[in-house]
Amino acid sequence: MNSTHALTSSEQPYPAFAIFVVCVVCALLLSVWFSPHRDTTEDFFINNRRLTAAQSGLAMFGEYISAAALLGVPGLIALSGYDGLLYLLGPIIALTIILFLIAEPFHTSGRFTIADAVARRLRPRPVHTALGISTLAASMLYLIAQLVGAGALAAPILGLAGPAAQRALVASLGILMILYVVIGGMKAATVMQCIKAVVLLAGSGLLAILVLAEFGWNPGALLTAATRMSSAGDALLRPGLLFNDDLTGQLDVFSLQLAFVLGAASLPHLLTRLCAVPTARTARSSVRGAAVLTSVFGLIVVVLGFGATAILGSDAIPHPGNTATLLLAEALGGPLLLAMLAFVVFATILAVVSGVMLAAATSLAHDIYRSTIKAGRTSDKRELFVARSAVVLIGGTAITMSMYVQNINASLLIGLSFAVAASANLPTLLFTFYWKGFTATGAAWSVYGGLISSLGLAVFSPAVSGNPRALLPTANFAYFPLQNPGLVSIPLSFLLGWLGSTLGRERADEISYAEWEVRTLTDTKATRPGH
Amino acid sequence: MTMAGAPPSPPREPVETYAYEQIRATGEYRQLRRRRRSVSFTATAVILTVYLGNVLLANEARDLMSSTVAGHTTVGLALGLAVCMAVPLAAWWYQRRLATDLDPLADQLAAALKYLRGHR
Repeated sequence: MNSTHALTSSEQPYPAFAIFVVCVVCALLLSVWFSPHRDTTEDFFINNRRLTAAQSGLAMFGEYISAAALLGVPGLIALSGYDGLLYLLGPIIALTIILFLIAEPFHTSGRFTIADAVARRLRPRPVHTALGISTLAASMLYLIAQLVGAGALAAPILGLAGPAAQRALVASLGILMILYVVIGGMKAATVMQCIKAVVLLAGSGLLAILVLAEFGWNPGALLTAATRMSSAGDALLRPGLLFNDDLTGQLDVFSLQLAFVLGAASLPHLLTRLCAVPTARTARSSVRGAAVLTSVFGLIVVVLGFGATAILGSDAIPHPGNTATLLLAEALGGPLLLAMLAFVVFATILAVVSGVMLAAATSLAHDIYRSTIKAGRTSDKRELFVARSAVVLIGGTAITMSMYVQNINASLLIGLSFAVAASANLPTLLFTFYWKGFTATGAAWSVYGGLISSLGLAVFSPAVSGNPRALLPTANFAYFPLQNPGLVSIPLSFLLGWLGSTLGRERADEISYAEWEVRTLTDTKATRPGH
Repeated sequence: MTMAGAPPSPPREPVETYAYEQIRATGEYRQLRRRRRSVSFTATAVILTVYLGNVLLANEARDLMSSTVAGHTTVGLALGLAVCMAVPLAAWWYQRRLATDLDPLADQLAAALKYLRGHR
């Protein structure tokens, strides 16, 4: 994803920089306009639970679709056809997992973070520490991946080439988002997500309609044209263009898909959104809305991917395909449509980065500072100050680190962050919600075990060393054969959670669980304050 | 990673605990709990089977996935789109099951819980 191909006609025939500047100015005005009226943690983190199901569903969809999904996946489909399609399905399915298993219990027990949802039932302090660390790790990896991707995706639109220009772009995008989140908090982030979601659906939908119109509204004709114009020919619609057929290749695909579907279901910035609505049923409706929107967007992406091949021909799309959507827009609608799509891309990058930054800062201030370091004894005002400082700290660190890993494939980092989230967060969430024998000891084993095994296996994977495309191409310590650790670390984390709860000396607090279960099933708030 | 001593459990209000125990003892609550779990777990199992089954087929049955259904459309492509469409379908089914069967039962129990809590 580190290509720096400029678009074919980017000798400034369309005003990309002007659009970029307009985006930036609009974003900052929005953050000031929608900054919280009262300076409380409830306002800053979750907009005081006052979002409606429609707003929250739209925002969740917006939070979910990154620029990689908008530009990367159509490109993969355009070049690799059927195998590219597999990248699309995992994230769509993940939302149904949230809907069926997580949304309502999470809303009932959660306050701001994943750790809050678990600490309602278990001993709070070790849980906050463990899940605070894992949330930070997963969010940080995701944030770095988004920033690296943003540089690679936005640079060609602006006609920038070369690593230095890309770095400057990433730094300015990152700093802008730090400002935005510090000023506006959750409310501004939500407004940004909603605007982005609408612009994204309208822009990509219009493009898909134009593609279908080109082929007489006949999807069959579109596919025929795609196979004719692709250098792969009929193989475009068959498995095998992207993934090897040997055992390692197959296990790798399976591992990646498992990490995708379970990791996307436990991404901190997505789950935090569940707390921003008033009731558990509103949370359910908003996830349902997000799931439907995401599957519609999935169909749009398929049309765009095959449309790019059918109209442009696969030879005209530079590898790895990130520019396919933009080239398609230019071919169908000229500079005007291209400019519109560029606007969509910028809005997408800004919105996703701001959402992840907010979630990471919330966890640092709430789980690590308030609940671990201060053991709950601190004021809301102080926590809010720490949260705002945390945005700066996290944003700054992520920007700096993204400079060093610029040549690593962003989709690889995203896969890793999903594996970390799935290994460290998901088993604990599911055990907390559905097993009365679960204890804080089990949670600590599962979270630390999942975190260490997923990160550790990633270090010894072929993504880090042992081949020319790795992060450290000259070193070789790739003892673990798979690119993605999920296949091993996710089951391990489930096992550790069970072992820790049954072997540890701690007794499960079954009365807490019973009361919590009554509240979840009846959608009732606790009358006494939580932790 | 040993956890020292017994956890300092928060003080429980007797009225609260009593209300929760009363609700849990009812047949309606047990029914709600059982059916709710069965709906959630069934829906999850179905959607995960569909999804991972599709991944498995794409890996193991490449010839089948490469055969065509109509025109250039392959079995793999058709199945992939079917998985995509299974999401709104499953979400609709889930919501309908809950809204018609289980939400009214939950409302009833919530009202009972409110009454018991207020009854100090």
